[in-house]
Amino acid sequence: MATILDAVLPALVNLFTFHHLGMLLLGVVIGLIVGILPGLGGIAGLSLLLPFTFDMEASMALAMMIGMLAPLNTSDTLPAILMAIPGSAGGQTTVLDGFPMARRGEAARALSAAFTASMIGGVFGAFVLTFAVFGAKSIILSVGFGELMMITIFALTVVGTLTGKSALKGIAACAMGLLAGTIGGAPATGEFRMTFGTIYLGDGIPLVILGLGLFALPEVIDLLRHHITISETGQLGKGWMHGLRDTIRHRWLVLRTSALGALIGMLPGLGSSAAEWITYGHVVQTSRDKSQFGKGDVRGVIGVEAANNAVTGGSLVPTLLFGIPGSGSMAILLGGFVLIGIQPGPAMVSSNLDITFTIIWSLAIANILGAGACFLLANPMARVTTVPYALIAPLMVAILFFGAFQATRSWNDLIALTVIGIIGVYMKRFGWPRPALLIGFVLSNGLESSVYRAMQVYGWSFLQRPGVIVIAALALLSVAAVFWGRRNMGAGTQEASTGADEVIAVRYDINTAPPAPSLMVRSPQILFTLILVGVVVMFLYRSFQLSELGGIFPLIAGFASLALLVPILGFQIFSTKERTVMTDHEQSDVVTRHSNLYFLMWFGGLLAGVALVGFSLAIAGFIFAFTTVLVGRPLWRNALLAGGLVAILAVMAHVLNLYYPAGLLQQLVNLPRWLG
Amino acid sequence: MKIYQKFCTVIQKSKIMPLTGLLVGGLGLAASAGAASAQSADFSGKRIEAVVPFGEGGGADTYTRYMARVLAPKLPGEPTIVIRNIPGGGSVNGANWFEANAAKDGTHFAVASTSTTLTSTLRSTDPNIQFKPEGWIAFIGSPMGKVIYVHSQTGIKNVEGLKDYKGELLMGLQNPTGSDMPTLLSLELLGVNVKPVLGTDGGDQHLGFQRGELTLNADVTSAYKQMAQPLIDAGTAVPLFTMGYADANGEIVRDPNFPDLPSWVEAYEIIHGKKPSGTEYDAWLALFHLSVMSSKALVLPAGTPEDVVAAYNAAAADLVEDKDFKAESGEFIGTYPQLTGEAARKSLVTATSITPEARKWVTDWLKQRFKIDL
Repeated sequence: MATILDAVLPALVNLFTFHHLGMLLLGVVIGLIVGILPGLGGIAGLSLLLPFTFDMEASMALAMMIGMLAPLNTSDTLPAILMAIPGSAGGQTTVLDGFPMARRGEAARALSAAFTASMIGGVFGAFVLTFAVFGAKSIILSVGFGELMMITIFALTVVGTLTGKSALKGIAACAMGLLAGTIGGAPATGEFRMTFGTIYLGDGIPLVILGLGLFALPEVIDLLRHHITISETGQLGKGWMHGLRDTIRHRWLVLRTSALGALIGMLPGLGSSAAEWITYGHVVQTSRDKSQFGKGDVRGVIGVEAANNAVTGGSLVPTLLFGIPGSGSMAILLGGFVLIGIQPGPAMVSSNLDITFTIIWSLAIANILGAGACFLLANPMARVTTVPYALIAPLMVAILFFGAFQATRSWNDLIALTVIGIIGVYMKRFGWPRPALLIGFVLSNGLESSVYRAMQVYGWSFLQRPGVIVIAALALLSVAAVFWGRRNMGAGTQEASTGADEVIAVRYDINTAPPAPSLMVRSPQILFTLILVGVVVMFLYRSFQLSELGGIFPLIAGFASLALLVPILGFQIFSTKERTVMTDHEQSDVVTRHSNLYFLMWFGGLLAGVALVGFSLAIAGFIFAFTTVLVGRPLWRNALLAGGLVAILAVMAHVLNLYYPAGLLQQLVNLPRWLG
Repeated sequence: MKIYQKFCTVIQKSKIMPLTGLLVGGLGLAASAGAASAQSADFSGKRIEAVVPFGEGGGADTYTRYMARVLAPKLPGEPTIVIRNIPGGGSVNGANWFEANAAKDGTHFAVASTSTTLTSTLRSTDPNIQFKPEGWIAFIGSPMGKVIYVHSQTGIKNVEGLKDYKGELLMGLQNPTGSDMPTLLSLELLGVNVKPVLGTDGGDQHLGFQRGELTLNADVTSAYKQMAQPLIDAGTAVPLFTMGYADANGEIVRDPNFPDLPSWVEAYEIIHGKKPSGTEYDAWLALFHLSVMSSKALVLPAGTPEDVVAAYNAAAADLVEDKDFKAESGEFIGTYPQLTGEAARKSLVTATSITPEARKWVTDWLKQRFKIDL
């Protein structure tokens, strides 16, 4: 113990020297920036820093790298809550409750609750790391292939809580998410599945694009159609103290979800996105009053934000102890360790203990600094919610396209975003729960490969392992809780609120239900369901052409989807009474100036523009045209917005060595890189 | 060419003013190569892009980032080298981009690693694969050996023990066509009863092995020293053999980093009592060169003019002689002699030119073993 104490304080004192603190701050600032920009995250931030670490002293390089990683999950909350843009693959869950709060004019409250929770979660993660480096080795080694598989199944049962208004639709969406996750190289055989001969789909649909397309793009269109400003009251709200009090009031929730986040982060293979969904499911499951989730329940924001900051601390455990990265950014961090001469492994808790404590202290301090900076940033940024939306929307579209393009930096990213965005718009309109789809997608690959591994190593005998039995019991309990919860639920109404019915189920009494609208009125949603059936059938057809091992998982997911889609379709066509599977927000909507299609045409125009003159110029033209048509004069303001964004894009192109999609123009004329 | 390289090295080391160095270098080139161009490549103020056909992080990316940093000051004009990651399709995307779009004036080079070259070897008929690594001009090649070890619970102590072992050995495998496939094939050729656990990536392979769920594992030298050595010191793991190393004559000899361990060829003799031969040996040799001798290489696109190639070769030759590089590079590239210039180029050509019979032998093996039709 004496040796540990010998290392704790010197590491802290060392960190407070001018140079170390400067590096830490630099890291925090970069982390904040890449966290706010969607599509950029730990991977981009670390690759930006790596070249500077070569010649640095190890502890300084560490302070900088950890300083960058720590606030990522804090600052990505800003676009998630204010604009429904998940800043990274994480942040998708924050949108669910954070954005409705901003819509209610409670952006300030949501942000301050989120940042306080983030800070506590982050510091807790560092705290866990302190003990975990000594004790976690045996925990990690006791979780074998069988247990990992059961944990993934347990995570999947979380979806039972998040099915949305109609359980049938929720589970169907989850099954389709599992199916969508099989696109790309098969984990066991390496065959390319459902890639339709393209290289792009060979690595599957990028998670970032799925999140942006499903959540952000439909929200942009919805806001454009219905609202003048994001905040329905046009107010920012004075919620700073309120948000702080929320976190204090739910302190046990914060600690519980922090612990959960740190634990999931420790297990390699699940990842931070899965951690967030599991945490969110847990928060919903353990809350007595579930009615407000998805409509702006502050607990949804607090729980997830605490967890995703704690994940970083947790995921450092396998990275430091085994040299095994749990995520993409941890893989680069590991590369960074090698570059500065640190060998992860058992030595981290003996001869390299000072380095370990530098990491832990850096993590804690960076979390506090990051949250503090976000507090300062939040007030000016929250004003976005009170600005005329038609002015912000084109900038948001630019950010969305930019973020999507970071996934693989190819033209296909933009096409994928648009296609998924269209699917998202109609899923939202017809009440298909997008969170359930995302959960299926996030867990698909892990589930498939963990099932293969467990079966290949143990056969069916893995079911006799005590750890497996315990987790299986938990999973059953989780399922039982869903049914129990459903029976005790309040009666729901067919309300036309935005996306709120995509999270929590309602009990619905068929006897008192009003008669269904005419078949003519129902035909759009029936058509959408038919399209889904068609896509699933196509997947099934192609799965039969795969090898046995590569085809079995998509076949199971496909048949499950089909088995759930058919009754949904049946109800939608034949039911004489209104049912939860029937939803069409357009029916009950107030008349709006423009349709979904109108705005989708704008995006189509943007894509065409990119094809002609490249990304930067097309975006500038789009911003100018859009604001001029939908907001009006003065023209100089519109031009300023357009020019300003191109300038920012140019700076980023230089700093991060980015390229933007080129168009026809760039093939004819040689333009500077940032215009290409 | 060798004389010219030495010449350039001397000039650069002697710190003659850049301009003079440039002029002399240009003359040297004209004299040695007799090329039409009298002007030597100069990259002053240029921004060179190193194309990595993978996302950030991971072996090839770290390798290229390190090499780009140390190579830049050795190139004439000390250009800035930036990394351009083009991920997708298991490196197919980036490799295709490099083949189609890379500038041939030295402002683009790429990293060619086993995954890329193996893909083009195995999937030569796939219309999506539009790159030809056999035409790429390697200017630096980094061999990387591989050690195969078993869990001590198997009771196997050495290759003889492997021969006598009656049970089944479990080994994690990413997928049958991934970059760890040559290891599996090597084991099967030895007649070892291996059961591959598919869908297991590097991290899971290590954890599974430490938990004793997997009983056989393989590591490249750099990872072996970090991840496996502690297990061997603790008595959990027992090293058996290495894939070997090709000497200057192309003979497979013991890995210079593990002189006490037999090479795969020796292991074959111990188990089968004869030297490997025939088509199956040709196939093994091709995969061996792909995965060990040309584990990673930095390449210029086909059609790059001689003066640019010469500048890169000279920079590479200069680099591997650098004292600092020798001292610190081991962690990134392993402590193997680095190949430069013509040697690097030849090695990549050897690795990527598999005979049609040998390729058929490998694809037949995949078909029969995993029912995968390429």
